Amino acid sequence: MILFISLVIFQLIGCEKLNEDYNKLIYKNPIKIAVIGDVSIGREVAENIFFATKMAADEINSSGGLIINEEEREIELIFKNSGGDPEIGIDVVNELIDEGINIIVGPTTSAVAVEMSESCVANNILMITYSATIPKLSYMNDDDLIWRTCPSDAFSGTIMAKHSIDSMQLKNGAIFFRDDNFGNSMANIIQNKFESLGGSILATSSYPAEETDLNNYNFGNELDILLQQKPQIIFAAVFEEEIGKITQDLWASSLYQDMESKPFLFLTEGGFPNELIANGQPDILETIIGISSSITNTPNYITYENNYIAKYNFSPVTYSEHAYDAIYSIAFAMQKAQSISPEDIKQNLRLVTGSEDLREESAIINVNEFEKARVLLLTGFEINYEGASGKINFDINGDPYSTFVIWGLVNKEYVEFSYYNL
Amino acid sequence: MKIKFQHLIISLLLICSFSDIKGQELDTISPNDLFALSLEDLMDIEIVSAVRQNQSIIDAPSIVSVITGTQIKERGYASVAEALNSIAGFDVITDYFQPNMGIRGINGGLRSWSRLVKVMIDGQNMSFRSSSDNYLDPSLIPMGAIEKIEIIRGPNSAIYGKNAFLGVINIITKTGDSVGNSISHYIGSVNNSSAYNLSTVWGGSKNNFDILFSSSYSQIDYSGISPYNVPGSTIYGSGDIAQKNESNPLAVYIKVKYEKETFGKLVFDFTQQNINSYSEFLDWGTLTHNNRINLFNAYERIMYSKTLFENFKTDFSFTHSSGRPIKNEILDNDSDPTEWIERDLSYAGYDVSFNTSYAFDEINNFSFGIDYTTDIHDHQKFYTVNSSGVRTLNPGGTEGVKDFNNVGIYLQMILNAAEFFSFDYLKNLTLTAGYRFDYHNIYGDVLNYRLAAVYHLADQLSTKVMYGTSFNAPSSVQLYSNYITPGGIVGNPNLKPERAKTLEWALMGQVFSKLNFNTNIYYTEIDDKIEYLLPYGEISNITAQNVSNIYSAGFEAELNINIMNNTSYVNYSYERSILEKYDPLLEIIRIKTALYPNHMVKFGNVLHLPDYFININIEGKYMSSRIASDQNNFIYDPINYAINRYELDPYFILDFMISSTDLELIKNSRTRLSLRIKNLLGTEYYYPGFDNYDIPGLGRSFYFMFTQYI
Repeated sequence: MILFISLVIFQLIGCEKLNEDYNKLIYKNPIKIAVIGDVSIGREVAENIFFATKMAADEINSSGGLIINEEEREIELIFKNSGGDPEIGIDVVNELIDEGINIIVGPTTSAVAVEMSESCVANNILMITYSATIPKLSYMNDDDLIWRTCPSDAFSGTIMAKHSIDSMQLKNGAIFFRDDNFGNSMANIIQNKFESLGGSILATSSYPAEETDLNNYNFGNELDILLQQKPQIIFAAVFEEEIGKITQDLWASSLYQDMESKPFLFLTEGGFPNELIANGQPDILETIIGISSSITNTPNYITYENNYIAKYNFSPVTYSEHAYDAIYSIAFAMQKAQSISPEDIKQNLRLVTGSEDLREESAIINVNEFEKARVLLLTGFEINYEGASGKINFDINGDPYSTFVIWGLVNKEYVEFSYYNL
Repeated sequence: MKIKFQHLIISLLLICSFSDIKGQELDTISPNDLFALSLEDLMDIEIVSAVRQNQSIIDAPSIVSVITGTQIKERGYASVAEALNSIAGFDVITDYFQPNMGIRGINGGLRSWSRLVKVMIDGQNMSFRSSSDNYLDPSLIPMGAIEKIEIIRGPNSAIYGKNAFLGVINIITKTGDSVGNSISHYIGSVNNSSAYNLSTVWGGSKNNFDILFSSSYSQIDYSGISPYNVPGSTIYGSGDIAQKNESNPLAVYIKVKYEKETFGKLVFDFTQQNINSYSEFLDWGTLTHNNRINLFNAYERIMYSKTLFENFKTDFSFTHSSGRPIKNEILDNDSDPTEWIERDLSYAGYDVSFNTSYAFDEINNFSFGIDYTTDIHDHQKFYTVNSSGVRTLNPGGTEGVKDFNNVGIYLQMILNAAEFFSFDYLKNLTLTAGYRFDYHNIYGDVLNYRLAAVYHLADQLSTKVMYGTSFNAPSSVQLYSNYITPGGIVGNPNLKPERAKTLEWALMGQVFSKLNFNTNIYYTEIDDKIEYLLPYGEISNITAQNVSNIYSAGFEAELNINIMNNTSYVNYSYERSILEKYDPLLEIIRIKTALYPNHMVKFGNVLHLPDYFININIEGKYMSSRIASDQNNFIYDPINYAINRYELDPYFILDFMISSTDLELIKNSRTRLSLRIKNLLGTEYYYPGFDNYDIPGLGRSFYFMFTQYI
């Protein structure tokens, strides 16, 4: 009886608050787009990419969504984890086929992207990755179905080599890399470019990237292989997850401590600054530089960043702007094509993002201007989306216009040193 | 081992020093006396914790349960955590470093060891102040020194200030003349590994002095158990077994009292806990076989109380507390023997308090108190140490103010309206109002209040309505710590206190002479709940954040039955707690709180067989399923972990104990023998874990105890 009375009272005092609510969102005539991230191996990157794509979809939907064949349609994102494992990536593609979804934004890593792309091509699925930088994706026989909004490592590796030799006057290098598709590919590019420009790679060393707890891995032995050769600069094709421990093990190495002139550590990615400030060895932070495709001082990036912080109360990570732009690019292509089929989207992606043929007559569309773009497209005008990551201008391989920044840390503050365009 | 020898030597010295002091042979309430006690007497047991002055349970304006020293002995509880786990509304899980007690549907979660309640010894806070954790294992206090444990569910910050958040546990110690001088020893087999304990309690009184000394040292090996994989995960295999999971808690409690009517009462007490645990199931270093957490936590206090003039009482106390790791602590996050982690961490606390109360008559009174606390912290800093002994400070965390200063003032009024205002029609109604203001140099002003009405429906039947607020202050570790390993937990200097407000209604009393009951319903809202969260931002480190609100409601019922030669209890708790939080993908969601079962049934029965000089005790617990930790659910479903969560299976555990009474194995001296079997049925069950696995409960365990009264 008392229990019954209790339950009645609970209902009275806090009926709604004591019930679960998963806030299931309802979409109008949803267009389903899968967003795939390697969440299991790099949660802070992949989840923030999800958040960026959600922001893009929310902006598009809140501005009235797409109007296709006079029907209002909203974007519904389906988030999937490819786990950093190519096999899981292929399983995810199969899941999406079963669910009738044929547009993919993702995945995060090159290793997964290469395997998934083959499966996507075979099944006529359009895939735009936001952070898989391996050059191989550019030259696949992909029926124009595989795209990316991030630049290829072929470009970044070239710039790293050039910057080291021309700007820093460092000709003795070493390479430290993950033993996976991305790491091996990047190591080859850097070695070839660096040596072709007159530099010398004194040593290379890799560490296991799979099934290893890299937060607790001791990188000392692999680093010592490089340090024995006393390089002036160590190119590091590593991920954000392990960078903190790498810097600690570098500092702990007696070979490193014995070096009068400490080698620079040149990182191949851009998402490291805050991770380094939080988890890196403080004494070597200022010997670290990196290359990034995130140019953070453009008006569009600043708008994107401000909107992101306003929505989520934390800052976006590198590559999230590329994911954001991927959603917008697809949405503009669908709006122009008046179709949601991969076949029509791929034929319009270049046309809405700065196609050379239409560039002169196109209206520039900036971040969060979907409504303006929709009006223009519905009235027969051309548009050129310049996104959070800058100009897109997809080339014949589905690669974007590439802009890079060389960054570093000064007094634990992120600083952009120089810029390169390709 | 050095500490162990020290305390044995101290024991012997004390025995010699007070050999002429007449000790009592029985506890305050002996087993036989307890059996003779009617339930009416049990309802009249006085407690002090609800309003800081003596009241019977039935009059106290709180939801109170009491476990007496005799019950502790009869049921064989080896720690305060075990005793609390028999009470409705409490759920104790463990990682074999320390118990982690949840209360009323809420558990503190990752690296929270019972920090949702305030734990005191005779009114003195006993937490490890650097982290505000309460270490409730056998190191807290020798169980033989406990007169009773007063357990209050609900907020009490209006009297006790910070951390009297969801409950208060006040351990009331015995007096020297009430203890039976004794040495106890047990040996046991825990999951086929060894267990050992040596405890002493000595006391006596002479002239106006009363002295109590107690100590307890245990060695319990929890090795041989394996992590239980998150569903779908295969990280741990059959070869992953805890090899070095030993715990060596040491507790010492000493009290010296001088009391004379003209002088007043002067008490000096000292307590020390040493936690010395090889912990194999910590989130940052699982099965490394080389973790040894070794902490020291102690206080020394002097209290003086006196009735200045009729009905006007005052008391004053000064306490020095301190805590730190002991030298041989090693934190090892991997199996690499060439480097490990050490930490700098310590606090020194000074508490001064002054309380007064004026009693207008037997019921109506007014209390006022002021207290000042300063805690000087050496904030937690982890270092990586290599085999040459070179220590490198790990990154992360921030430097913070070292001195935490708090001043608190409270007022309390207990009022029987009928007596005070001559309203006869309200003669059965007593009102309590409390108000407390705290100012803290880190997080500023906090106001708390409490209102309660107790109405006597009959002589042994009362109903109570209570409303109060409380807060839990962020600790030094939560605010400023750096990390153990890259990606590990770092402090958040922007934390605010957690705040709670609770409405309770209770009905309690005696139905007939053989049965009493205590039921209540409650509703609690918590704002700014602090949790160690998986990060959403730019870095991978887990940080403590004020991120969620909790709405919790529940029903708790306790029955005590005394029939024939049996003393029994049974209680049931139903808790429904909903956590409201922002998820960037799902936006505002409300989900059930993790880690805590919705339903709990606990019972026990002591069968007294005086003709055979034995008692037989059986205790059981049913715990319904509980949702796994957020950290593990991320492994289970990295995309939808906020809403697609797995549950740990429900379980039922039965404990059995047979113990003797009054055996005279040595002439003119009593001996007590007992055999306790925990988890008699060998139930397989699991506690929530926080790093890719859940933690196995113990299998069948045996303890044989020998107590010699001197």
